[in-house]
Amino acid sequence: MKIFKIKASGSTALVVLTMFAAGAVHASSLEVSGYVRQHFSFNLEDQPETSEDDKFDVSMARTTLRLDFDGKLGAIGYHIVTRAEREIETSYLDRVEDLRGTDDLMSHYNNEEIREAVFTINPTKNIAVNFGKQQVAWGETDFFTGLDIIHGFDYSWRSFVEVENEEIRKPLIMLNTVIQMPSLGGALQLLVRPGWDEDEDIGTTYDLFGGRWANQPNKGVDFLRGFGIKYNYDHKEGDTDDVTYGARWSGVWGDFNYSLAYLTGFNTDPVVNFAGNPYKGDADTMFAEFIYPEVETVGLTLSTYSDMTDAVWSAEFAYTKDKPYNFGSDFFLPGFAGIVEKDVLRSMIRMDKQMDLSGVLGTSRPSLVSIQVFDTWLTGFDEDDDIVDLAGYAAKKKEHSTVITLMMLNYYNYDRIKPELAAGYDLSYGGGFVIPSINFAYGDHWRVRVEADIFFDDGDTDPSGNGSDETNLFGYYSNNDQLSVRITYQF
Amino acid sequence: MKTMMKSKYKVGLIGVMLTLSAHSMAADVQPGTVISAANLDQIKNDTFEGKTIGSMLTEKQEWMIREHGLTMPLRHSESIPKSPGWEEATEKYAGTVSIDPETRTPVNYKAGRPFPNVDLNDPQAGLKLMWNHDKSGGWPRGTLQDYPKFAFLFIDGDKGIERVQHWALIRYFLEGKLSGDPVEGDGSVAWKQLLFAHYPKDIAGIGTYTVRYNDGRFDDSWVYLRSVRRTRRLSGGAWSDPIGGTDQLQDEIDVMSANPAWYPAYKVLGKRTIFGVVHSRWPAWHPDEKTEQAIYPTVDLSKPPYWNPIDDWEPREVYVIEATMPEEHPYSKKIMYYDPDAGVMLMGENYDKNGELWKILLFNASSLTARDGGSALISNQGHTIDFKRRHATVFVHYDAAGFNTPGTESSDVSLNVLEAAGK
Repeated sequence: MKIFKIKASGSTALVVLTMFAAGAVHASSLEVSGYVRQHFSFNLEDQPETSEDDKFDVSMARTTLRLDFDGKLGAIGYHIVTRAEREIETSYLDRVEDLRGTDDLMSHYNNEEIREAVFTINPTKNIAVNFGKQQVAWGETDFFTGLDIIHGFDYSWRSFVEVENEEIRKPLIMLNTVIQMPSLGGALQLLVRPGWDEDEDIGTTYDLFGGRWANQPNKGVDFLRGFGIKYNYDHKEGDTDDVTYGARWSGVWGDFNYSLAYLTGFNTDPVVNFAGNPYKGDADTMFAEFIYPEVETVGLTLSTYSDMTDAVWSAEFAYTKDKPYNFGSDFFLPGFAGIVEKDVLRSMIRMDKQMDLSGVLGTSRPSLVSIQVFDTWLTGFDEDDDIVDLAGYAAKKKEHSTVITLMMLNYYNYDRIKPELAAGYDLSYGGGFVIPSINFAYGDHWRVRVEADIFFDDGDTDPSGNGSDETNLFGYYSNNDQLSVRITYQF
Repeated sequence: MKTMMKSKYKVGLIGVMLTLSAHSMAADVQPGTVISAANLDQIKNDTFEGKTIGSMLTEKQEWMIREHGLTMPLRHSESIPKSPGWEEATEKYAGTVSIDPETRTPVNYKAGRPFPNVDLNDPQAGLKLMWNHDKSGGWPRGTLQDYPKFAFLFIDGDKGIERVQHWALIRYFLEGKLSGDPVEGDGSVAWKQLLFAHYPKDIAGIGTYTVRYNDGRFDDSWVYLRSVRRTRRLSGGAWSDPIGGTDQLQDEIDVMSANPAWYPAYKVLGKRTIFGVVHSRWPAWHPDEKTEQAIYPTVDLSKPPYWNPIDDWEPREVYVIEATMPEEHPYSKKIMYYDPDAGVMLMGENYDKNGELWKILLFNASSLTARDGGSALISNQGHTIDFKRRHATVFVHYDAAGFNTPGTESSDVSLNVLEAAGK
């Protein structure tokens, strides 16, 4: 019998036990909820890395159990989220594992953790102190993060849009204090991350181990083991034990919602730190390592409803100073030549509009249409910096990287059937995606989601490495078209 | 001769019998009598509190009894208690209230009923009655509606309950206060509201925050989406869209929840007595019971169409008001039955763009003692019935609902609270 090993840091466990002990005498409420979910995905294309035809093979058979515990212990409110995942090794994954030359691929997919354990007290009516492992999302936009950079995301098991992005955001241990200031029409939020997190909770996690969501053409290529490129969480510019912090003021001014934010934290994407040209002179490797350097970001968000367009307009701006990028498109491993810093402005403008398409589509209520433009601007851009879009690929980064997306959500049969279409196009490098999906609700408990993820690249890299100079964002997804089916029993 | 005499007696006897029979047909029915399709023809000409049963049934009520299984247990009518200070506030402030001709909204409203004496010959009579409803209708004569738990039942007319959702609502009024200053702030805001979903899991944690203004502009509203842990502003033009996946539109809460100025015209069709429910069997929701019918005892789940109320009806004097809908609204017109004593709409009939009946709304109110000792009326259960789709959404209240909870302040209902409440 396998005993589940719960992934929770000693600090998290200590926090949980202490808070429970403090309030146990006055235990007053507990609500348990959660779900059991079976998730399948199927390849819609052959994967060139393997010798067999993988089209229509099952790429994922994943079972998830999530249990949430909400309640109060005396005056202390608590919110605990636990989750466990188990996958069946499909024949396709077995072939990918063979490419890796190991038998431990499934260890990257099977997991158990206390995802959140946050405790709340209210010293006064207008002050809430939340302490523990938790998620805090800033900014307006969900999928191209501007200010939603307090946490990284886990894209290792499914490297694209997950509708409920709370499921892939990586919670952190923080002291999160919210002070309501009604007389000023807003609230001040103060965050302190004491540096007690597990190392792997920092930054965004990608499939660098050669699994099913490794970038084309790296399925079966384990960079972490085969190339010996480890994560260094103790780099002097990116030590996960460091205290990080942030503050945000959010309020309403006239017809506008706005927020102003400042954050010190870790660059959400890892960068390669090459031993031959170490970042800030520090590298704990003979070859290369992945690091998450600390960066400072200031941000602004705005949103308002416009009578004239009958739409909600939102904007988000995040300015990060000295954000690290890899350079060296002609280096023997592209992007491994070193790290250069650039001041970066990421911006987003979005329009959300309710459109009554019932006469055309037969919907039962107006559809939600959302158009979003997201841009990353490397201020002080210099072609000679030779920045690559992603380490490992020779394609160069441009001064502006701009993506436009469209989403339309329709409602049928009292919201029991909800077809959705999401599409995006990379205005800077070409390529895009189309994601048609449909959600079904049966009674109070059963939910089914069917989704196709179709990618269009404008240049990809073949297994021999040719074409990497033309491979940008959607090129990484080349040959990764998927059909996903998700069945959930919630309680 | 004898034979003639006999015949005479016979005719006289038959006459007496006919008279007696006619008299018995027009008898007073007793409280507890249940009007149903089975006995409607028998008792239609009988009287209750001096009026015939038939005269107190609207055409659509009679149709629902005959065709859709509605039954009406009768009770004697009873006036609705008013909070101390309500009539005094009406007397004190009503004289200064007028209608702004540009915005069609009340000017100088503070507390009480804004237009206590509406002349039905006044071209603005309908609008004034709607503002009377808006400023007092079904809502506490005080500060706060505090509903920590209520449920929506999604009902298929042929199969019964499909789904259930649990929600919570808190609405804070910045005007109409009966103690201290009647208006809080600069008078621009009528009320603020937080609404949270608790069940099922996929909607739990979704919350909205809404601000209703007094100048007729659209509401400001925001939604908190737990799945992405983020608050987003909502379209102000969505006020006539359905509430989630329910049969009920945003402006149909308690039959009428739009700002009255958003509808272009009203016509008072008359004043009459109809059967309505203002002493509903409180509470409508008993979540600790075991069977579906026991959990929702005031909804007839025993037989199709599964959406009818099981409640006590009494004669109520109402204004019948026809509202013309704006072009962008799904309906062409609404007919609403406004009970001025209770301050609520008892019933609504909504017609599609072709003028055909689409939905009927039945809202059953209960009188409660507010937590500050005042009186308040609550929609114990509300039935929004879509006859085109043979589907209904019924909301039912739980006994935790209350009014004027001491210690609650305006700042407890705010956008930041919406964000802070989401985890």
